[in-house]
Amino acid sequence: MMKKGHFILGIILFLISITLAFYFFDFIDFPELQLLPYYAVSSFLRMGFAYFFALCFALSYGYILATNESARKFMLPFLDILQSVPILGFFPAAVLFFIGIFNGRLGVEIAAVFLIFTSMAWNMTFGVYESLTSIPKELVEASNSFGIRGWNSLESLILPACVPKLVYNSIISWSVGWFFLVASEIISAGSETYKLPGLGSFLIDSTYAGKTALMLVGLSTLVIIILLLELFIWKPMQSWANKYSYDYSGEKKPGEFIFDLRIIMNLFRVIFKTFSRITVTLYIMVHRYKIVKNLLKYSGYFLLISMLAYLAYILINSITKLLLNMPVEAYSIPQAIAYSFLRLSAAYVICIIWTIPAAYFIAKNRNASLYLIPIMEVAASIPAIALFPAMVVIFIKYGSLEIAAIILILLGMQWYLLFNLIAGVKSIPKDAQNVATSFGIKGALYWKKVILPAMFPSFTTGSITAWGGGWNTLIVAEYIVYKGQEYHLFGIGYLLDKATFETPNSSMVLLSVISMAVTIMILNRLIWKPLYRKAFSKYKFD
Amino acid sequence: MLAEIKNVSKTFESNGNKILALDSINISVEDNDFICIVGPSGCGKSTLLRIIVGLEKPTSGEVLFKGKEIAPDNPKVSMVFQNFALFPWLTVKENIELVLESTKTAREAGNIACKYITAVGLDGFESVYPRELSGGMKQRVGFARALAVEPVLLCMDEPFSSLDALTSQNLKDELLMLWGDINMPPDAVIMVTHNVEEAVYLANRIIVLSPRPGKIVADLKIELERPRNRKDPEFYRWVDKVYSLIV
Repeated sequence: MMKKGHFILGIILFLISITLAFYFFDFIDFPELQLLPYYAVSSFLRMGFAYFFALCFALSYGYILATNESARKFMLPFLDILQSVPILGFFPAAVLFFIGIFNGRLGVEIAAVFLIFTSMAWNMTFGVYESLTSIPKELVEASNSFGIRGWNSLESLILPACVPKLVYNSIISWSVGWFFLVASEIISAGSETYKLPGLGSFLIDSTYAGKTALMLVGLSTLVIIILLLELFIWKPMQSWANKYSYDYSGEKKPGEFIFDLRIIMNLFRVIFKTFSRITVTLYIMVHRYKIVKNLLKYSGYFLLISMLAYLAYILINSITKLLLNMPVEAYSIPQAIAYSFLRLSAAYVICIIWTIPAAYFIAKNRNASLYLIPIMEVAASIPAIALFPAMVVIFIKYGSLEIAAIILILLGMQWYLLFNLIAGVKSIPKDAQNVATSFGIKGALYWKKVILPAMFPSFTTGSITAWGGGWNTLIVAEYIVYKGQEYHLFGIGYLLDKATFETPNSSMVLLSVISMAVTIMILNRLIWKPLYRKAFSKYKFD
Repeated sequence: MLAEIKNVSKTFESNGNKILALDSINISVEDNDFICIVGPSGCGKSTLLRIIVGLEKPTSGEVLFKGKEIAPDNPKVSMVFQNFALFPWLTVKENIELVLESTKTAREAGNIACKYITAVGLDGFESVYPRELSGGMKQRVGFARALAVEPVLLCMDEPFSSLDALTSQNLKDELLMLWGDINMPPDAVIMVTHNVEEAVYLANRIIVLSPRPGKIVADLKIELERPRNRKDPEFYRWVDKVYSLIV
């Protein structure tokens, strides 16, 4: 029987051979290809740096959130806001800021890493916070009763507790990160356009130049990297992380792999041990000398306060500017948000219609799970943004931009829903299924009373992430420049892009970002949070 | 004869190895039987039960119910699950009505549900969700649901194992009452358990399975008068006898 690992490896080999074929045979036609390995490495390094900072941020912010109650009062809502801000929106501002500090390329590089960082960090931080607050109470008490406190508990209790959720969220962060990598490598801020060497800029450049073959090579290089990571890092890391799970019920079957995982898993253990050691050493060093501790504490406060002050300064500055000179376009923001919301809703409805039956079929069908899931993982790993230029070309020729935008948003939304739903169907207890079978509950009744309610929790989690992805995709879906010509759809994404690229207007950028963030937060409060609460209090199997 | 398990064998496949779980099981279930299947853990007793109700197919052999091959959705055979298997989004009453909805009108389903809610002593809990119930009460709902389809044969997979001693004793007595009442379902019961004392208390027949592959070691008629007394030396002789057959 073929294992899933074989299948992924097969896809990788296939893609590698095609890419290499292009690489060697079309050298002369496309001299750009020569630099492709360099681009790939640069992009990967950008991701790596961003991930490292996100990890450090998640651990320290999450730790403070979980342990310091007075800090939690303002740090938790702050994180909530950060998560709701459409990252792409405040990117141009960040670029200008970093270029102001570090000159030239370095500033752009830091801005790019920063953008990717902001797409990775928040969910990981919530992951750390959730795992620290859900350490079984008995375990904490047991540790305390054996005298394991302070730095001791850091190594034996706190860091291990974070592992499962951190690994799970790291995988999500990386896949979101690829999306923003592509977005971050070509940046227009004001009248200037900054370009970083990398896969993302390569993709966009080759598409805009109409070199479809090149774009496909770039795309398959990206997919190869993503798949190699999946196979050699994330899958083994997941099996390694399962060991740290507090879920005692039932054994977790390690995934099926083609090679011995122990080498990689041992590697993770060593890395994790070293990482814990360094953290503990830092912790002890900080706590040994009161001066160091206080210094760190106050410099942390200072950094935070100065950041807030800077933000407040910008905010007040722009608001006064706004009040003095309100851009006329500002009045079209509510309408723009409504248009964008409708676009998102349309994509979401299509999502629901196809993913629910598909998830059920895939989860219930062994062969479908075996062959379709890897294929879909490959498809999902391609950041939707990387496909957009290609789609625009197609739709300018054959159809409307509206449809292209909705399809792009769909691509940015559907995988979250699909994979969550598949996991949801798979986690329905076998006995629940047996009840349906042995009592003859079938057809519409079965769907209405058994399957749909059972899918509800995973549907909510999937929907929340899908909408998050959707809002970000919106920004690239409503506005495109192709061969010097600008195409757009009216919406908040367009207003934002226009204020950023076309007629630079910082107050419009600010207004758009703020109103988008407020809309997202209102939706979260009014729809998603209540649904989520209901899903997990009523629809979850114990 | 109510049901017949003829020459049932089951092999599982794991990593390419074939493991024989059940080896030529023959049982004939009479109209008023209360059969307890006991055996060491891993002997395949739960698998046997799942084959009897039709949830799993035997590798060879067959299960006949009233002369015909068993279908998993046969309403004359119903099942109580070890971990209750209630739907958390349905109330007590809705959980029971659910299994009646395909054959009865909403009104009838409601009436039948109420009847069995009373029968298992859950009056007043109709609109409560399973999450708010204790383990014992959840299993009462499990019983009520299984009885609501008015089965001839009731199959139970360790229904008392996750309940405390007092609760399970009460439920056992109620179950015996229902089984003894000719106006109420079920006529016959097959129960899987690893608790020998429980088996001797309830059953009129105990079937002892050997360690894997599960084979029938003994098929004992328990001739103790009811109500049975746990302190009766005779009771203990039976318990010892069954134990000696397992070990």
